[in-house]
Amino acid sequence: MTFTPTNRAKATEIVGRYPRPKSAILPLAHLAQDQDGWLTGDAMKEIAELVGVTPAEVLGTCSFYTMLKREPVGRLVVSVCTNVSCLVTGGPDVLAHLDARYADDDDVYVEEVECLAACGGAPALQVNYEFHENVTPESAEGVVEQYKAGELEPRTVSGTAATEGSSPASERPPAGYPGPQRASEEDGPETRLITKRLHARPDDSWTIEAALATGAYDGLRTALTMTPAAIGQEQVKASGLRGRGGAGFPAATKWSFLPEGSHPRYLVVNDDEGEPSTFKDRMLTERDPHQLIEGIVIAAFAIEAHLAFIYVRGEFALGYERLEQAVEDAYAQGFLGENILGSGFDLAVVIHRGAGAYICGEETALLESLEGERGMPRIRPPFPAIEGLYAKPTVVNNVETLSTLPHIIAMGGAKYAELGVGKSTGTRIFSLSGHVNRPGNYEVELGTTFRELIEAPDLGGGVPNGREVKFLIPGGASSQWLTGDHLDVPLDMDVVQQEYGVMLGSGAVMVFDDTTNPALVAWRLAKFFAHESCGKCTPCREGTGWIEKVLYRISHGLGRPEDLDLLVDVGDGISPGVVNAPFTQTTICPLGPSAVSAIASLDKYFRDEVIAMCRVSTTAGVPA
Amino acid sequence: MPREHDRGGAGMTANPTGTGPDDGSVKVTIDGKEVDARPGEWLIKVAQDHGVFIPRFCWHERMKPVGMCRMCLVEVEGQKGLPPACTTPVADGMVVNTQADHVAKAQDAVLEFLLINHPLDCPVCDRGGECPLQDQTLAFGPGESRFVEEKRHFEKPIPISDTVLLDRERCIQCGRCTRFAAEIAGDPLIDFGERSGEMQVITYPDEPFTSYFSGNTVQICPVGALTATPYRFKARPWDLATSETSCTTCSVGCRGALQSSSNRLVRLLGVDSEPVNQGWLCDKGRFGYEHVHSPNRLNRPMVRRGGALVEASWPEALDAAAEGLRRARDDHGPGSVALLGGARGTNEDAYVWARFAKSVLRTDHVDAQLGDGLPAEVVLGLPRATIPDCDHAAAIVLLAPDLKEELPVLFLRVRRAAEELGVPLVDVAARDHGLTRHARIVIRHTPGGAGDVRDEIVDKVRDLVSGDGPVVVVLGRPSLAEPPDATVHAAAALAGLPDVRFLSALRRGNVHGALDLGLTPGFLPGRVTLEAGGAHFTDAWGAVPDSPGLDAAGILESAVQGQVQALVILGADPVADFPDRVVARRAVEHVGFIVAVGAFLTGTSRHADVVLPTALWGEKEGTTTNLEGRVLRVSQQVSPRGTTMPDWRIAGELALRLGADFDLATVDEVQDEIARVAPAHAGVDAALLRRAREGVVLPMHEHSDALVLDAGGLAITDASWEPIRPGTIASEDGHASNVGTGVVEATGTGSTTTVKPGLTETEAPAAPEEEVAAVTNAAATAAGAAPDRYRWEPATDAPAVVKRDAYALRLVVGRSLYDAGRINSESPSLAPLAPGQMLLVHPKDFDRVGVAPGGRVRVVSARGSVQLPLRPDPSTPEGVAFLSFNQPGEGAADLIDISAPVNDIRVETLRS
Repeated sequence: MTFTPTNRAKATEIVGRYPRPKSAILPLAHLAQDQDGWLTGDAMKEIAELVGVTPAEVLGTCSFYTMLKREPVGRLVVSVCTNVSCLVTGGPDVLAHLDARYADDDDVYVEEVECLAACGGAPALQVNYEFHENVTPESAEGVVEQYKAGELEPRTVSGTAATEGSSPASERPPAGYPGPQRASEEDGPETRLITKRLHARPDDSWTIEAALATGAYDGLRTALTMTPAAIGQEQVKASGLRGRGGAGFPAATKWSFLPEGSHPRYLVVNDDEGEPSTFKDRMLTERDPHQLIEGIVIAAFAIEAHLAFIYVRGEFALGYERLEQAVEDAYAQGFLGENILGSGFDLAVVIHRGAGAYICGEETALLESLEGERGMPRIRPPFPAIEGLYAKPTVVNNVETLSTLPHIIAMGGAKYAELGVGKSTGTRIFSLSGHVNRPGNYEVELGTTFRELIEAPDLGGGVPNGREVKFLIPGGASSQWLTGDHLDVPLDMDVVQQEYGVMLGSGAVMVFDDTTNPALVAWRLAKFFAHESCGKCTPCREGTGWIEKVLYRISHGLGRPEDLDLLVDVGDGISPGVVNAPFTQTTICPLGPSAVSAIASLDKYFRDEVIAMCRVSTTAGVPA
Repeated sequence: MPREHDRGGAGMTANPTGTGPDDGSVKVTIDGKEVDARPGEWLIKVAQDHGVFIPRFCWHERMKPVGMCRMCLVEVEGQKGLPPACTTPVADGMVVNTQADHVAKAQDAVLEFLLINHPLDCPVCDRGGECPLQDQTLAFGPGESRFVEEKRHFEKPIPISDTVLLDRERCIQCGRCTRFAAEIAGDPLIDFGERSGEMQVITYPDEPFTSYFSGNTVQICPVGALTATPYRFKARPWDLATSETSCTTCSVGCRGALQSSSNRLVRLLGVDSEPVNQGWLCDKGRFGYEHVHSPNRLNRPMVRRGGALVEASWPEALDAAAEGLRRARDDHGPGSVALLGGARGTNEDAYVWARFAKSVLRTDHVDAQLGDGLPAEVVLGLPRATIPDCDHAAAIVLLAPDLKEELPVLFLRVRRAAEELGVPLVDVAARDHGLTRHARIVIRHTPGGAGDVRDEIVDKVRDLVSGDGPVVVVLGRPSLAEPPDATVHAAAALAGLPDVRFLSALRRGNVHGALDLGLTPGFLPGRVTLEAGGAHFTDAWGAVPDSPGLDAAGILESAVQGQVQALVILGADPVADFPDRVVARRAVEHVGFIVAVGAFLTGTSRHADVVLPTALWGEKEGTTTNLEGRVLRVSQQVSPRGTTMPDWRIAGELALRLGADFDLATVDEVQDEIARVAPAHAGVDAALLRRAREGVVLPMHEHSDALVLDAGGLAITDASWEPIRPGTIASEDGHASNVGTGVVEATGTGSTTTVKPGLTETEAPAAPEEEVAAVTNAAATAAGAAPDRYRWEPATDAPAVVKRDAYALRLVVGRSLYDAGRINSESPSLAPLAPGQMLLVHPKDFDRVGVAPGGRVRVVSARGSVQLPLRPDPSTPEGVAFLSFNQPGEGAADLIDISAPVNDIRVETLRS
């Protein structure tokens, strides 16, 4: 179907938002799905015409992203997560049940998906990108039936709210992170800076009213009285703030790489949270978008950018909606737009929705995606600070990093640096999931130990059923693992890396008890990386798939005793030496070596167990 | 009204290949050997230039690096990990190790990864035997696979165009094809689709890869993922014999490696000649060899007996031809004999025919152009540009037909100059075409009105030009529906600019050779006029015509009037090729005696009294002259068909029968005679041509910088998927060449060395500069003693402006790459690609007619009326109609009046 006249006008407006028309491919594809229920061939041709490329290029881009459905999918897309936090809490059962239940139902399209950033509410699923968490096979079916019966109003298959401005989820208590049911006035063992407001105003923290009532944009007012250099090279530098996306690079240093006097330059917000078991940015986006916008304006002012793009993960339908509202309100209040708060500083913000690709969390892949390309990482150098978006100097910052800025300005960089430990200053939100009694996001000072995070009554609350911690994955799926023997290691970015070869990464902490088969976890992670590899580099494209196949055999009773050594050697071809963070790599970006982390961990901590498992399967000769 | 867009500056991209201004060199140590390099040059190229082959798949030196395959990982001291050599710019003091154990292990791993899902169907793969995946696995890879799982499966080959098939199982996702399509051809009709292990090359389902350049992707594909239907399963690489040649499909003269198996041509690969084609070919050139093996070829001569053409022996046919020509000459004077054609042969063909026509028949009614070109004095007399001049031009002005359709590889060069090198492009035309979107300034005029905007062009170009470099004017015949006068008038104005050079856009394969060698009225070989060179050539030849003769239009008109009574048609078909079919048809019907020399029976030769079959490109050796005036060798790769012989030999035989013995027995002897007598060709003899690696630009002494002499003897082969360097194909001394096998073997003087696959590239050593200087100085001396070459003094009158009535559309007639010409129609792979007749008009004009797109209408001109499909086309301005020339069936030639200053048409709906 081609666009209706209304949508055609909307499409033209969308194209006009971007310095280069091709950037509009993903938003236009979403618009087409909103209209037609899937991405038709006609729509791709029309998009090609609207952005001035060939249909092959539109197809090339669109086929990279899982949310864009190139065949009819019915009215309801049910996306069931089976990544590790959901794996160990029953996700596969939910998937199997729904798969069977709706196999013949043309209205319902059940799909297995990768981590949805709802691990605090695992197992989780989405129906047309509306979250439903802590589901069981039966409750999941009940949810789908409610949509079918019209008791719940579904979003479109691209996740747009059916009635503009109304969002079904906003009416229901969210789960999985400290929402209303678990919001606590008291900080307890937490040190709440960036999670303060969402605890204080659990019912409306995302609104402009609640935000203004709780001090939003005060930091911005202060910042606008300062010079850009004073913000970046004094306050932020003094704060010691390091990127919260995963790499932990000092924010002020990143900004300082921008070539002087080179304009235009862009600020790009990385809100493409997808690292398995990480769900903090989703929370910050849904629950405190004004804090993020405030951080964006401060950062843009500091780096002298006048156009900022927020790249929001496509699956975050509610987050996107709340950000749109918040940006609109911020414009209305004079926090965005021309002459912000009378300072003479102008900033425009464009919100850009992704469409389902983990790799777009890697900053250069994100830039490619934002330019309407396939999300394939770029060769560096040139680094984005020199040649980023549209080959212009660009800073890419994570949501949590930017959300911290108002507080650094408000309290002063030096004061902020007093929090934390060593070069890991300040607080971080840790996304705790897996086998813990109280999964969720907790903002603690860096330097807290894993044990405290996992066991403290007001934090993780310990492992259920009195079980022991067998192993844990700090820092998201890309990190190597620790075991129950490492619980007293501090949450210090440098210590964990230098002494234990792991990383704090995106701040996810996955806990697995002593009933867990580590090979099964490793296989599920391998499956994730094989699915999310962009395909650009040979070792990652081919290697991740190979690793997945071998780990599948091992974890499903078909392993051979020599398979673990094979895996280590295959891993060596992607990440020579295999062992510790920071990675070595034969690839452009770290996705490939990330897929090797689990292998290295199996080899390091569970070698005997895995080989024993293979011996059994070799004798038995049949799958488990 | 002229229209103009200013398109802002085309972005100068970084110049990573280091071909920019030389700002000093850096020292790099590669495997212990210190070498000099330009800063910023890619490490992989620097290593290669110094004899260190770093294995690779995705990197291609004519495209931007992407670092995808990860095969070229190396160790750079002080750098973390193993950077790919293809994306690592060299820096001073860099120390590189390509042989360390951990480098070898990483390369070994990449090969194993590439092979796990590769089908290993090598026995039935076209690439088998010339495959870098095979070769590099042998040299660098593991001996066996540890992969025991199921391989990835895709439907085996799927067509992505009429000539290219894609096997996604074999694909190693290097992106060479997709990058070529986007970066080089500007036709991004293929892209990567899907991701991770499923990543694959895609087209949009109903939009195939219809690029004129699609065959290049097959050549540069490092595996057998892309195969070309004309070559598929035709040969094994080790059975191929190869020689270096030039394509003569159009006048760019792309260098190619022509390959045969069992005495059949099976493949033409692009040779990477920096000044000419940089490795690329268009598909018409690449696949057009098929026409050589057409079943419609003439094998034996024919003579007319009892009203019908019947086969005859060569002596019978030659006697009959000679007798007919003698009778006309002797009975009615030399002015009763005329010759048309000759633009598709070799220089040697053109020269001997010119000598025969002008000294034996003593007629100057000789024209290699068929009323579709430019006046010879303009082409021969203006200062000439070379193709490389485009790269550093201060501006390129297009005063020519659509280069993409007529001279495709020149289109690539101009596109690259505009897109990559920042050369401003000025597009002067009656409608939009393939280069319009790359133009900095667009000037539009009404058809036939180029002369009206000449001051504007000159002003704009003057404003635009800053800094060094010539202004290159690409000059051709923008439309066959108007005489060249207006274009020439505009060119005359541009000729007054400082350092302006003209690149002729005449299209037929050797039209420039034919003009240079006297197959045009008023000129003798070597760019001298009949007047200036008459005495010189009377010495050389014994006789020359008394006075300048008629051009093609004049000859045909004169034939209709009954003055021309005998006509030689040399590899041409005026009934199809002359823009005014009414005149052409009446002429051939009126002429008393026609000798048709050619490879096929055509609309013209069916009227002939004698038909003499000729050998074609690939069946004969010689030289050709491209649009720069660059003389390039063409090679014989297979035996001539049947009893056919080269055109020049036929001329010699006829001369003998008319009492003149030219005493020319071999191509070398013809070349040596040309070098001796033709002023522009001074010094360009057989021995020199054999050694001139990039050919010889005429006159040689004015283009000594273009001359690269091989010292001779040594010849080395390249892998077909990598750029094939000129002068590296061993065929001269009878060695079977193995271009394409990937095996590098040095043959020739002294020693024969076989080395590891792809490990060494040693080019034939070039002769020292002193030798080039000596050769060119001698040529200058010889030219100084010869008659002066002609120089055109631009003085033209503005053609009269003709008003168009409001109901008429003014016709523009151009060409499409694929047409009804013999190369196209006799090549099975190309014939279906001709788009067919189609009248294109602006959507508004289209709406006025009231038919469905593609609906048939009657098109009426003062000359005739034909039925054609009509389509709306936004590239065509209002009031203008566009037709492609020489498509199958009735068309443009039936509408054009060659004598009219413009041709207007009316479109009428058909009564049902």
